[in-house]
Parts: sequence; C-alpha cells; structure tokens
Amino acid sequence: MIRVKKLNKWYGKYHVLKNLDLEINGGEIFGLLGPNGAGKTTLIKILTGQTDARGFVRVLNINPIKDPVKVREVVGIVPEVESVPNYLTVEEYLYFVAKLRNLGKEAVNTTLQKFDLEDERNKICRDLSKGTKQRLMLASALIHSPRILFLDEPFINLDPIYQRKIREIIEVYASHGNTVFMATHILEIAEKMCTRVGIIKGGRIVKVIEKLENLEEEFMREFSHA
Amino acid sequence: MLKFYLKEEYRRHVYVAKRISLLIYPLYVIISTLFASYFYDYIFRIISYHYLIKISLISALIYGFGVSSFEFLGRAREKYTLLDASSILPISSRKSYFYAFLRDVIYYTALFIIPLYVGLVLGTLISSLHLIQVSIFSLSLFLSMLIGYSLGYFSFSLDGISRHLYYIFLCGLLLYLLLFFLNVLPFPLEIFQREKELLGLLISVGIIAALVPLAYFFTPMEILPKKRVLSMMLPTYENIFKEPLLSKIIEDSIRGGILIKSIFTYFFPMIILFLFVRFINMAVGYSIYNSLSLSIILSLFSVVIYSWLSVLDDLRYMETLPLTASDLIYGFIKAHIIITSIISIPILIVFTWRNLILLPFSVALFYLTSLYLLSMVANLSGYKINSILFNPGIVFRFSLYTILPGMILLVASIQASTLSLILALITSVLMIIITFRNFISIKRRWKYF
Repeated sequence: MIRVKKLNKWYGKYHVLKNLDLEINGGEIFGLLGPNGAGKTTLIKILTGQTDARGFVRVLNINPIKDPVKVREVVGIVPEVESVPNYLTVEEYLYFVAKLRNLGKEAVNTTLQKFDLEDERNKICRDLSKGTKQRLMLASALIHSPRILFLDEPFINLDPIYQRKIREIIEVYASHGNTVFMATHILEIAEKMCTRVGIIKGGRIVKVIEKLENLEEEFMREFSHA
Repeated sequence: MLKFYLKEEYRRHVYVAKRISLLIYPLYVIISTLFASYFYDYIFRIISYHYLIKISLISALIYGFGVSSFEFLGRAREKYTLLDASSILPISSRKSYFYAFLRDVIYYTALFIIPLYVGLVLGTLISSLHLIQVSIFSLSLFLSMLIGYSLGYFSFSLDGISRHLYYIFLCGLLLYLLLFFLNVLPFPLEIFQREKELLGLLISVGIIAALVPLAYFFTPMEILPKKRVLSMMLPTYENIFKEPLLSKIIEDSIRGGILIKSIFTYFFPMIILFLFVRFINMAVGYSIYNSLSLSIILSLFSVVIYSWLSVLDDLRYMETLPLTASDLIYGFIKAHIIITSIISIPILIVFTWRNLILLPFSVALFYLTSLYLLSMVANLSGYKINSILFNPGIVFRFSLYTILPGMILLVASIQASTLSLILALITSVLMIIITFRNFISIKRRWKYF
C-alpha cells in the first residue's frame, strides 16, 4: 500500500526527514507517533503529493512526487489545520469535491446522511463548530471511498463526544479492509485504534511497535534517551 | 498596546515577503518619487496640474478607504490575531479596533507617505519644485488618506449597527465622489492645495475629528460572527460555466462581495479614468486617448480583481483535493476575464460609440493586454498575489515586463502612423509569445500550493 525508502526532505537548510524507511500494508490502521516538529505532517504531505522530496515513495503504486494529483485522486486526506471554504455551504462543498472526483449528486446525499450532516447542509462551512468542520473534512475525504485515508492529528481540539464520533467513523471505514495512516501525539488514541504504531524522532522512524499494550512505556523510553 | 499592533502588521507583511524586501520598499517609493519629480514639468504637459491634484487626492482617499475597509470588514475576521484575541483579553473591542485604526494610519504613512515626502524633498534639489509646494502636497495627500481611513473605520461601525446603513453610506460616498469629479461638489483638501486656503485644511481636520470618535462609539462591544444559511447555487453556476472550480470561484466572488468591492477598486477608478480621458481629449481639442489606449489602461487597472480573487477564500483545503496550484491560477484567470469583461467591455462600447470601427481592435487589445498582465502576475507571484506587493524584486520584474510593452502600445495607439502600427504589431506578437510561455511556465512552476 505504502512503501518509502531513503526518504529525505529539506526545508531550506533544515533536514526534516532523514533517510526515512517505512512500509504499510493494506487494511492497517497505522499510527505515526512523535512530538511536535518530528516530521509527521511533512511525511503525510509527501505521501499525498502536497510537497516534493528525495527518495523512493509509492502509494498504491503511484509515485506522489511525480504524480501529485494522481495520488490525491485515489486517497483521502484530512489535514491538521481545519480549513474549509469561506463562502460555500456544506452541501455545495461536498458537491464541489464530488464533481472534482467525477461523482454525481447521489454521492453528496449519501455522504451527508452517512456523516450526519443533513441538518447543516445549507450552512456556510466557516460558520460551523470545530467538531462539525472536522466531520465535514472527513466526509469530503471519504466521499469517493478511497482505499487509503491520511489523517493528520484528527482528534486535536475536539471534545470527547466528537472524538468518539470521528473514531467510530474511522473504525467503520477501516473494518471494510481500507488503510488508515494517522499522525497523532495522543498515545491513548493510538493505543486504542491502531494496529501498528511507528515512532518518528528527528526525521527518522526509530521504532515500529506491533504489540500496543505497553505503547506508552515504549514511547516514553524512546524519548527518555534524548 | 499600539506597538504590538504595529509589530503584528509588520510580521504579517514579513510572512508574505522577505524582511529585506519590506525594508527596501520605502526606498523604492523614494526613488520613484524622485524620478517623477525630476520629470514633473513633462508630466504637467500631459496632465494638467488641476487634474493631477484631483486624481492624487481622490486616489489617496480611495486607497485609505480601501485599506481600512479591507482591514475592518475583511481581515478583522482572521483568526489568531490581536483583534481576534481581544475578546479574551481585558480590552474592549472599541479600543482594540481603535488601535487597529491607529496602526494602519501609522504603518501605511511610514510605508508610503513619508518616503513619498522624502522623495519629493530630495526632488527639490534636482528640479524647480519648492519645499513649501511639496510639503503642502504631501500634507494634502496624507490628510486625504486619513479621511479615507476614517471613512472606512466609520463605515465598519455603521455596518455593525445595520448592513443597510452601511450600503446607504457607501452609495452616498460614491455619489459624492462622482459629483466631485464632475466639478459639482468641492473637496476641501483640493481647495487647500490649489488656493492655499486654510479653511479647506480646517474642514478636512474637522471631518477626521468627527468621524473617528463616532466610529469609536458606534463600534459594537461584541463582534458576533454572522451565521448564514444559503440555498444550493453551485450546480446553477456549473450549468453556465461547466467547470466545478471556475463555478466555485464565481460563486465565491458573488458571495464574497467582489461586485461591491470592485465598485471601489475597479469600477470607480474606471469611471474616473473614463472622465479623465474625456477631459484630456477636450482640453487638447482632439483625441489623444482613443479606445485603443483606453483598453490598455483598463486592463492595467483590472489586475486588482485578480488580487481580490486570490484572497477571497481560505485555500488551504485545496491541498487535499486532486488539484494543483496551477489549476487554481487558471481558474482565477478565467474568473478574472469574466468579471472584468462585464465592467470593461461596456465602457469600451460607450467610449467608441461614435467610431465603432475601433471597437473590435480595442476589445482584442484589452484581452491581449489583460491576459499578458495576468500571465505575468500569476507566473511571478502564483495564486497569492499579495506577496508581490512588498517584494521589490518581483515588483521590479513586473514593472519591467508590463510597463514597457504597455507604454509602447499606449504610445503607438495614440499616434496613427505606419511606424506606430508596425511597432504595435511587433509588440503584440511578442506579448502573445510571452503570454504562451508564461502559461506553460505556470503549469510547471506552480505545482504545489
């Protein structure tokens, strides 16, 4: 599903990702854990064709560095920043995304229903609450039923009710054999939801943990050396 | 407190342009003004002193009003700013917005008016301009800009009371400016500038002194976001424009009030220009400016619409969609052409009414110059045109690539001779080639958002 070898990324003189290697299989909920500035968002941006880099990258056998649009056609992305259109209603935004993805009006109605957004359909997106905006971003990322969903800190600033709602949506999506790549720094979420967790530190994946019972201990051990 | 607002404004600009670029910017204004003051007698041969003063003062007023409106009615909604944070700080919204007003006055005076004054003072050393002359001119410009700021600040507080009041005020202002340009109503600063009449100065200071406290006291204690419920319109636009992205941009521009904004940033300057051209033609007794030259000037002015389009939406979510930055740029260019056509083509038709044979050439020239300018702007600055404003490197390249061919076409369009026709043809062909090259370059250069 996702293969990364010797991936390097510089922002000016800052070497953000250093020879990063990673392999993720289909049907996984893979968690990327790491402190702020570790390179989580940068890695997601590279994998989804939002920025360039050096190295070998394949997402569903597509090279996102070479074909950034092609990769975004087949994956779903929920970015870290809650960014929604300023002047479109919820329904219009989903319609816009559906049209860009060559889908019809039915996809919009199904998504509105599936994500419990029917009551909000005529509201301007930027007037929505934080949690509803996040739900809308998730809805727009899943409207085309992608095989991989990339989530960048999907639970940040959400209250427990919305956290649970978003979690349920992701778990249902993954239960259909889809892959989730989730960057987070909430250990509890990673432990409960993920099948594997990679720890990113200083631009490298330093450990991939499969048995998540002792995730917190493992994570703290990794960073207590620093 | 004020220093934090100033610091914030400075950092906002540094965010879109390099620090050095921003610091060099006043130098750029000084040099340009120095250059203009050296050639001022040539300028007066083309434009009479009377109209130059009229246009300068009104431009400063519109600029001040535009900056202020943009700040209070647009940018004030931005998150994570001092204005946004004032609701959680021990400061009233009245005070916070007043600081924002003071900040704009100080910041933009330091960025434009002071360097302009320095340039003019230096200009007295290399021209026959006098220190008192340039001081009065700079003071008039400053006060005109200040009236503009105060009007923007006041109109924002009116908007807080009622949107209808705001529109009535806007229409009144527009009407006044038109009547002023038709010499029906006076502008106090023009009287001060031309007649050296102190009353004009006192009235202007009085207007500012009345507007600012009124704006302060009318500012709502709490600025609540207006929640709106709207019906689905996007498919209707899509039926017309066929492309989802273009339809979305058009809908954004309608809902984002670009039509209202363009009254002040495009349509009104166009009317001034139209009248100005008429005045010049009447003054010299024959048509110096024809519809060909007007079409070039129209396209130059129209770049502001592209700028508005680029700041309407929070575009960060676009990164998650199967689009590139170049797709968005092409969308903006198409929307720009649609919007400006609605405004410019009727002006050209009115202007060429008695000589319709020139109309097809004028329209063709308008589109050629517009596409050339847009391709140049988009290629240099991408989909965030604001970054161009404070980056002298980009401004210089933009000036070189746009003003030069624009001037050649303008001069060639004024004189009807074989030489000017050949010159215009060569320039047009070169512009077409560069436009194509730019469009290809945009695709390659602007891949990521």
